[in-house]
Amino acid sequence: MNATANASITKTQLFFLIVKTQIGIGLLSLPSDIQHSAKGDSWLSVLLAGAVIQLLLLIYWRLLKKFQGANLSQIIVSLLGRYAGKALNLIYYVFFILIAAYASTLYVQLIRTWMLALTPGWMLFLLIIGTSLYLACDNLRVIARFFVLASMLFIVLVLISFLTFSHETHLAYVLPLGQSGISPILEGSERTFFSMLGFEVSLYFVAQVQGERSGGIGVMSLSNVFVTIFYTYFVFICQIGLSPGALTQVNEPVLYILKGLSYQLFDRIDLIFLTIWIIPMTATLVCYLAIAGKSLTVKQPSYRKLVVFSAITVFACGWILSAQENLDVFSKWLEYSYLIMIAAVPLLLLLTSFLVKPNKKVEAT
Amino acid sequence: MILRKIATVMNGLLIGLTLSACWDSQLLTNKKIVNGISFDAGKDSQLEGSVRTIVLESKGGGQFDVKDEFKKAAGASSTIVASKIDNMLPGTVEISKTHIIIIGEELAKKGILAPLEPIFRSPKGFLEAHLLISKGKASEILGFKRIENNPIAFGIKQILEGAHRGTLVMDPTLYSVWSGVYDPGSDLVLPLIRKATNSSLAIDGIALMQGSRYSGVSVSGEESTILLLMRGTLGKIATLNFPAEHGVISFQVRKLIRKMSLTIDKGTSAIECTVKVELFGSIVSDSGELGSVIDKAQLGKKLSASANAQAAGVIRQMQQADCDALGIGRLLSVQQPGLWKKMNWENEYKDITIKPDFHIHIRSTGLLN
Repeated sequence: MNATANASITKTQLFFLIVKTQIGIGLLSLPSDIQHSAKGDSWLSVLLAGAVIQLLLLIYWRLLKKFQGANLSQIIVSLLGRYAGKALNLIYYVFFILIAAYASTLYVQLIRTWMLALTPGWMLFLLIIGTSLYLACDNLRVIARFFVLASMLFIVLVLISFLTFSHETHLAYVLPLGQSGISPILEGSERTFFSMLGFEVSLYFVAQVQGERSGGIGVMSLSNVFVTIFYTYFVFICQIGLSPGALTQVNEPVLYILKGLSYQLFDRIDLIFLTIWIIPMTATLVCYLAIAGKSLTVKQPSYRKLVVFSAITVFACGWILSAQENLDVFSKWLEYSYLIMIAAVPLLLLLTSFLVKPNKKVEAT
Repeated sequence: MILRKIATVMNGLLIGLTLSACWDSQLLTNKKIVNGISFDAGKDSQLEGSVRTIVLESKGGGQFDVKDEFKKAAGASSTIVASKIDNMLPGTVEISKTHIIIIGEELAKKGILAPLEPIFRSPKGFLEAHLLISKGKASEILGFKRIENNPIAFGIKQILEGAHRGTLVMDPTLYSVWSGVYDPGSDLVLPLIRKATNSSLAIDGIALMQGSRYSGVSVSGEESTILLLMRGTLGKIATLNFPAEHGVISFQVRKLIRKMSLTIDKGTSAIECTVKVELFGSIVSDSGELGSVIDKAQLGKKLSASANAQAAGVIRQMQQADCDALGIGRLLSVQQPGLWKKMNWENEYKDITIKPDFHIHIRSTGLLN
C-alpha cells in the first residue's frame, strides 16, 4: 500500500503539477488589481513577484536536499519531534483546507457572475469539489498524468488570447517604463504574489520525483519561469488592450477583453475561455486537497479517508464563506498568515536543520 | 468495491451535471430579442429609450418572415426604461444580440456613459454593439420605416459598415468606446447618423467627443475622411475630391502611412505636433481635362497642398471642440512624461500647434493616362 501512496512521478509531471496549481483564478482579476498601485508598470510587478518566488524556491530546495526523499510533513516531524511536529503539520493542514475553501468560494462567485447567475451556490460547490475529490483520491501519478494531459489546453488559451490583438492596442499605456516608481511596483508585486500561490506544493511533491534528485531545482525554476511569463503576458495584453482608467474599473479584465470580441461563427469568446479556464481552477483545488492529505498521512487508505474528510470540510467552509457579505478582512488575514506558513516557516526549518541533528528517519507518522 | 464506488460518484456527477442546467436554462421562445436601442434626453432630466425587437412570423414550410416592432418608454435610468419596455412586450427582453445603439445629440452632450453603464456591467451585454450619435432625436432614427424591407437596425448596421469601408466614419463598438472614454491622452470620434431625406438615412459625419461628452462640433463628408486619415485610420479605401481648374479630380487612397512627431520649444515650452500623412493611391476621375496627360509628380504636389489646406480647417474645428482625436496627448505622455504630469492637457490642447503634412503619391491613373 505504501508503494502506491508514494507512487513516483517524472520531472515533466512535477513541472505540470506545479504550473497547474499556480495558474488559477487569481490571474483573471490580477491586471486590474495591480493597476491600482503599479499603473503602467504592472507587468514589471509580475516579473518581480516571479523573482521573489524564485528566492523562496531556493530555500525550499536547500531544505528538500537536506532531507532527501522526504516531504515537508516528514521533515517537520524529524526536525521537531513527534508531538510538536504533528501539531505544526496540523496547522499546515488547516491552512491548506482554508486556502482550498477560499479558492473555491472565489471560483463559485466568478461562475455565478459570469455564467450561471441563477444556479444555487451549493450546487456549484458540489460539482467542483466532487470532481476535485474524485481525482485527489487517487495517487499522485494519476493526478499528474491528468494534469499533463489537461495542460494542452494552455495552448488553446494562449491562442484565444491572440484574438485580442484585433482590438485597438496602444503600447503607450505601458510607456514610459518605470513611470510609477519603486514602491508602487513593489505593492503590485505583493498582490501578484498572492495570486501566484501554489508553488509551495513542490514541498510535498518533489519528494516523489523518481531518479536523480539533483534536477529538482531545475524543474521548480522552470515552472516558475513559465508561470511568470504566462502571467506577465496576460497582464500585458490587458494593459495595452484597455485604457488605464477602464482597466481599474473592470473586475476580471482578462475575461472582459475577450468579451469585446465577436465573430460570425462564434460569439462570447469570454465564455469559451472561462469554460476552459475551469480546468486549471479545479486543478488548483485537487492539488490543495492532495497536499492537505499528505501533510497528515502517508498511507494510502488513511490518505483517502482524509481527502474525503477534507473535501467535506472544504465544501462546508466554502459554503459558509460564500454566505459572508464581505470577504476582504478574511482574505487579508488568510493571505498574510499563509505567507508566514510558506515563507517564514520553511526558512526557520532550514535554519533549525543546521543546528539540530535530525532524529532518525521518521517513518510513517 | 472500487468499481461500485466509482459508479456512485459518476452517477452523482451525472445527476449534478444534468440538474445544473435547470436553473440557468433560457429558452429562445421566452425571449424577445432586441436588435436596436436608442436613448434620448427627455423632459425633467428623464431618459427616453426605445427599442426595436425582432418578430419572427412563420410563413409556413419552415420559412420565416423577419419583422420588427418599435417600443418606447421614459424613466430616470436605462434600467427603469428597460423594465418598462419589458412590461410592454411578451417575453423577456434580451440585449445579448443588440447590434445598434443610437444616442441622441442632446443626451450625448450630457454624457454617453450613464445610459450605457448597465450594458457594460451586465454579463450579457453585447460589447460588440455599434454606437452612433444621431442628429436630432435618436428615437426618430430608430423608429424610421424599414430600409429595403430589412429590420431597421440591420439596415443601419449595413450603412455604417459601408461608411466605415469608405473611411467616412470610425466604427466604434461599445468595447472600444468604454476603453477610449477613459483614455486621458486621446478623445473619441463617433459616427453621426442623420435623416437625409424623408425616406433615407445617412451616416456621413463624425461627432467630436470631449471625454464622454459630445462637444457639439461635428465634421462631415470629406472633412471626416481627412480627419480619419490624420488619425491613421483607413477603412478599405478613402476617396478625396479636389477642385481643379476645370471640374473635379478624385483620388482614391489605398495605402496610408502616418507619423506624428512632437517638438517642444525649450524656452516657451510651446508644443508643436507635425502629422505626416503619406497617401498612396490612384486617380479615379479627372472630369476637367479629358484627353490630357497627367503629370503624376506635379499633380501629387498640387493635391497635397490642397489637402493640407483642408486639414488645417479640420484641425481648427478639433481644437475648437477640444477633441484630441489624433491622440497627441498619448504621444506626449510617452515622450515627455514629466511635462505631461505637470500640465492640464484639456486646457493646453487648444493652444498647441498642429501642422498637417500631406504627401499624395499617385501610383496609377487607372486605364487612362
